Amino acid sequence: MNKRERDTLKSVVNSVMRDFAFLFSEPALPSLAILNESDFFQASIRAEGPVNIEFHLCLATSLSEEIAGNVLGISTKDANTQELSEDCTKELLNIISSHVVTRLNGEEAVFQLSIPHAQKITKSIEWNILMYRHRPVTLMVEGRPFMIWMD
Amino acid sequence: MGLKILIVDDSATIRSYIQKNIEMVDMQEIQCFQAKNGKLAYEVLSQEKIDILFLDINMPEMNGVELVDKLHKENRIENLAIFIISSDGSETRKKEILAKGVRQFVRKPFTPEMFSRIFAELLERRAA
Repeated sequence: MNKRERDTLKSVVNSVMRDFAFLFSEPALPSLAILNESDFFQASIRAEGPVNIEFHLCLATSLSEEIAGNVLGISTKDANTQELSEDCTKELLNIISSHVVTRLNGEEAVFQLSIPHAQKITKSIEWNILMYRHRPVTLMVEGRPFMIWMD
Repeated sequence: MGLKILIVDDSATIRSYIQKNIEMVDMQEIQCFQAKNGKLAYEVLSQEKIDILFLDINMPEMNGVELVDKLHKENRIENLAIFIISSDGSETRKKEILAKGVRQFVRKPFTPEMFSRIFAELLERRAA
């Protein structure tokens, strides 16, 4: 990813988190993204248009539950929040990737997005592998690590 | 007279979010239906006289653009207020959809305040 792409990802994540989930993100050095958690969601989506781009994000399950809780105005302990956390992660990536492709390619470009899919990661070593393999944009959201990249 | 509203989005979170915002409107006799894709939405539209349709674009089975095309071909859009609720930011796509009789294109993410404003305008227009 070049600097423009990285800056765009940071800026879009920040505004989407604020407007969608009422949460704030701040940039974090990869080395600062220390993990206290071992359960994560990794989600992916593909945008096809003038250029083809794949977006991926990874975040702690507890953060996805907080996002779902904030969106629906319910407690993170609510059974609905836990049920909807994976769905919410996919929707978050859907919104972020749509905004990023428009920012990078202009409002006239038409992109077709795939249906996002997500999987659970239960070992923190996998987080580290993804971080070093893809050199993602790393952020802290409410004190919890969040990574996103495109290729 | 009551309002029948159909919310179509493959995300259960977004369907719940929209329904929650609708329920905050101080109006009796609002009946909400939900569908997770265009195909299921078409079935609901065939069974119920829906007044307002909140419709996502990117969905499996039948997406929002395909559903609008189908309703447009069958001349069923005139009496239906369709609101596209999508994260798609393409002006080209927006113009194409609006040309088919869709009322408004609302970009995700939207705040509860934005939604309330849109909904209040819609109810005012219906009352006029």
